[in-house]
Amino acid sequence: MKALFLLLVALPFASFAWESKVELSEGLEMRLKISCESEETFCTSLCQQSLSCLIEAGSCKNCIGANSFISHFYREVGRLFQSTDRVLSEEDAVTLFSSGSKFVYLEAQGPFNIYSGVGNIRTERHFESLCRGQFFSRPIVLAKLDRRSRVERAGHVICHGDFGAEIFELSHAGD
Amino acid sequence: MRRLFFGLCTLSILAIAEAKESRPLDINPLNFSNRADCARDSQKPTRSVFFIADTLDVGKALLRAGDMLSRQDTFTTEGIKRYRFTLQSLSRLVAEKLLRGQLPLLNSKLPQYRDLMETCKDGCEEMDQLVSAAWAGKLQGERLNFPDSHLSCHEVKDFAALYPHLSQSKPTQETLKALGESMAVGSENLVECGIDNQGDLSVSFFQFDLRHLDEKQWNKVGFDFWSSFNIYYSWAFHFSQEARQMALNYHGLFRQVNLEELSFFFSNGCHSIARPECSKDFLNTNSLRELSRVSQDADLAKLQVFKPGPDHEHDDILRQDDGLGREDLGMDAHESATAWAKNFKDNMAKTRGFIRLKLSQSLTQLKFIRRGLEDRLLSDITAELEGLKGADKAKRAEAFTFCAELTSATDREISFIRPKLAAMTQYESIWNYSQSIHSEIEADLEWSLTQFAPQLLTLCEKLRDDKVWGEEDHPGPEAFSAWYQSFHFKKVLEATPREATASYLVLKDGQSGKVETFCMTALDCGKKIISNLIDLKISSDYASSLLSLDGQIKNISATTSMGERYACKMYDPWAQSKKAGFEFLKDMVLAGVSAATIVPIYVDVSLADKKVSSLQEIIKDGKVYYNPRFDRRAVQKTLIIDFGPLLGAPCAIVVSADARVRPQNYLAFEGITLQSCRDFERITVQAESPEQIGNAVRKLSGCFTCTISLASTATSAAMLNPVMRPFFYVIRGVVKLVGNLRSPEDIPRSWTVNPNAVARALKINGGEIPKSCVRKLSRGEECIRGTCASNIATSIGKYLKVIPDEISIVSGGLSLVTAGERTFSVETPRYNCAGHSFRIEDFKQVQP
Repeated sequence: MKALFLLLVALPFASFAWESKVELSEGLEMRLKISCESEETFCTSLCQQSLSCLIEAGSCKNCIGANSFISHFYREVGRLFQSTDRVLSEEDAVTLFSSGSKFVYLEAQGPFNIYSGVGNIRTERHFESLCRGQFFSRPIVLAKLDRRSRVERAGHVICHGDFGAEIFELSHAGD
Repeated sequence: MRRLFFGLCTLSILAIAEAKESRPLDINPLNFSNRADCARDSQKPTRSVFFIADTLDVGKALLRAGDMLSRQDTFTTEGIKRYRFTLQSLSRLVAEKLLRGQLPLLNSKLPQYRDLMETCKDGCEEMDQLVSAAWAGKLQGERLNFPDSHLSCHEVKDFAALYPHLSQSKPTQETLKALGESMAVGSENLVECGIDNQGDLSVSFFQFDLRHLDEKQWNKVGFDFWSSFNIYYSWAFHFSQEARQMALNYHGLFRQVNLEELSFFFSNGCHSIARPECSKDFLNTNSLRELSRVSQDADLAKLQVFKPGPDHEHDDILRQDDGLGREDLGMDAHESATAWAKNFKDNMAKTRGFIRLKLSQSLTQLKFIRRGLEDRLLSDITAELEGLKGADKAKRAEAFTFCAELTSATDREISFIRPKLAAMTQYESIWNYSQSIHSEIEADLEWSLTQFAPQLLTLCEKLRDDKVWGEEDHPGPEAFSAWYQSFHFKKVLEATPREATASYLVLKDGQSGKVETFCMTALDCGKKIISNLIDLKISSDYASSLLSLDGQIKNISATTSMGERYACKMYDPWAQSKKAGFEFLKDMVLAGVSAATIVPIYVDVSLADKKVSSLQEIIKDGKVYYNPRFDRRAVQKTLIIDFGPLLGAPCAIVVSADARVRPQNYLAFEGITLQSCRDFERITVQAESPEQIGNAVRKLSGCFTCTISLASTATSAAMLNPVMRPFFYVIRGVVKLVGNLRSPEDIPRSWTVNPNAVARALKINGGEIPKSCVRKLSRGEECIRGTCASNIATSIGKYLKVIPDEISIVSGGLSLVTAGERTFSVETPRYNCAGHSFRIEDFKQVQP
């Protein structure tokens, strides 16, 4: 019975099972590694038939230091910035990454968090509050850059779970 | 001629022995100037700037990156060193590319740039593309031509006595001695930039000197240089290949640093980085000087920017007294220059953080209230106000404070309410910034400014006209919002937390689920809207000046406020000179008139100091400028009838527009005086707009005076004598002219001191600066006995980068120079020293 329940819960996600991780290159270039365990259409569409690929972060002119948006985000994540129930479909997720938009990746312990100490549990929790249901851990916020390489808004969060990852839309309180 | 002489000098080193010697610093001469000259210099571009960069945030980011990559502990410290080295090297590269004409100036003469300045004031992709094209050599434009110039970079570790020009008007013997002594250990106080030459890593504090510029040419193009430098520097830091090479493996992280917000330029002296203008941005940015001398949080909180209420920022400049125009930068209060810079950047970060927070909070709260109450707040407040007659005392008092605050907030200068939305949208940069935080800001403001405020203001005015409130309804100051207390009562009473007796609007914490009362009543919410509008206006004003919303590094244009005072016509560096000339001319005319007529009636005209009475705010091209308005009494006319020559009595009647006038000023000499004066004041109120109410006071004075003294007898005698009379006026004119021109601060005077020459003079003169040297050194010259030795010393410093202890002429074309334990044998073919009366004994006094 229990096994059947797990199978039923897992099935909807099995067709879209992938995961991601933020990495830094030797030259400290940030990138998002997307990988699939088997030939998922998400990976094959996004990674040109490969099982994994790296999506380079955009060049952000104001991500480290006194940035208005990023400091506002790290201060208000989980409070004013919250995730919504809206989950991106596989097709939308591919479009998001291949649309030409540039993103930077915000994590609780990422290099852009200069607002709390390394290993700060509180920030971790605030970030994790962006994730929902089965997808409860390792949130990676996608912050979009404008044409001048400045952070424009945080629109999505990738959350991971036991069955892969999902992309949720983010909202700012009141929006 | 001297420069040419040095330039022709070629020195060839024949022998160098191992040793240690003090080296001259590659820095610009120090410009000392008095108040008037400082104001005048503020109109000229600086050649020396301080560059302060916050490296703490970069360090934190490196720490996290190192953690992600499991790198060693040295990763962060090495990274910060590399970051500082990148900043230094890039500064040099950009400056020298501009100075040598490898990059065009980004000024109004460049059509593509001029067009972009109109369409993307806050920067845009097209601007980046334009700069990129210029960097790649694909853009024509005006280019500089200073082939021999370069940017010298030093890390400022200790101010020591190396910056006397920032606090003193004139160099003195003591100043020069202290400067020379600091130069003797100069390499410890000012360290030449380099990757291995770094001390405290938490802040970068550099001095950039542009060396060997043609002054005349520089004064024409210097401001364009600095504005172009700022744009290129910022672009190159993020995007250039050169920066990538300098940063090595750290480039991926460095290019993401918000350099523009984490660093700033600070002019080293009275010369400016940007042309002074009487604008809100310029005044606000330059007022950040105050942050340099505040070292305690309690003192920081007292600064206007942290006050809850609005103020007319330009009042600060109107209130400035006639001090020496030299602000205390608080350098002495810190143990080192690094500590000073750290304090300054910390204060800057706190100030910017405070503004950001205030702006973001006001936007969030406005949105929150509108979202929750848009459909009912107006009707609820209206109902509360209309039902006041039967209400209890507390409700009446609450309504009273609400209406008082709403009425006060309609002042055009302190809020957006009066000029409505248009004024807010004119602050382009802040408008864009606000929209980036909350996309619906326009709707929030539209509702607040076109519905909430005007409708309730009308109702409040009606209630006031109906005399709904009596004296007994006036509450104490504590009942008003903090901004209102600060603005009207000039102090903010400590708020006592009120227990929520009702809940009109509640705030629910998304995480904890905790519910808090946001406002207790509709009027309470109304007051919060007003407070947020005021906060929004204050923080917008400061944000546009202090945050780098335009993507450029902010600069504090000069170390003194004379630039602002001159630009806002608060101070005229030529006023005293004009006055001296005018007084002299007047006496000469009087001399002529007195020679021509025997009737002792004089009409005197004198220049009164022009005083700015108010600054009118003008919004132009999205920027706020101030238009100074003057007290109209610029010329004083005085009629004098002197009875002495006619009646033999030393008496006079004086009628003057200036009540302070004294008849003796117009007679030749003073004596014992019996005087009766009476002032008549006519006061008229001038009001062109509600916020520009001022009293124009017109004064008229009349005096009857009798002066009995030898001098007055002489005066009378002189006046009776048509030959003597003009003579006295001429004498008086000359005496007054000399006196007026002696004014230590108000007649422009400047001195140039070459620190390296001071160091040489100190060495050569056995650790003392002789009095006889002060004048020479203050002209930027050497003070070494013997022209030949002086020339050799200068050239040695310039070419060999050492400060000589001793120079010995061996033969006509050969000299021996001792510096520390090293001996240089130098060939000086262009100096025919043998032909000069130079004696080797001149240097014997330096021998122990």
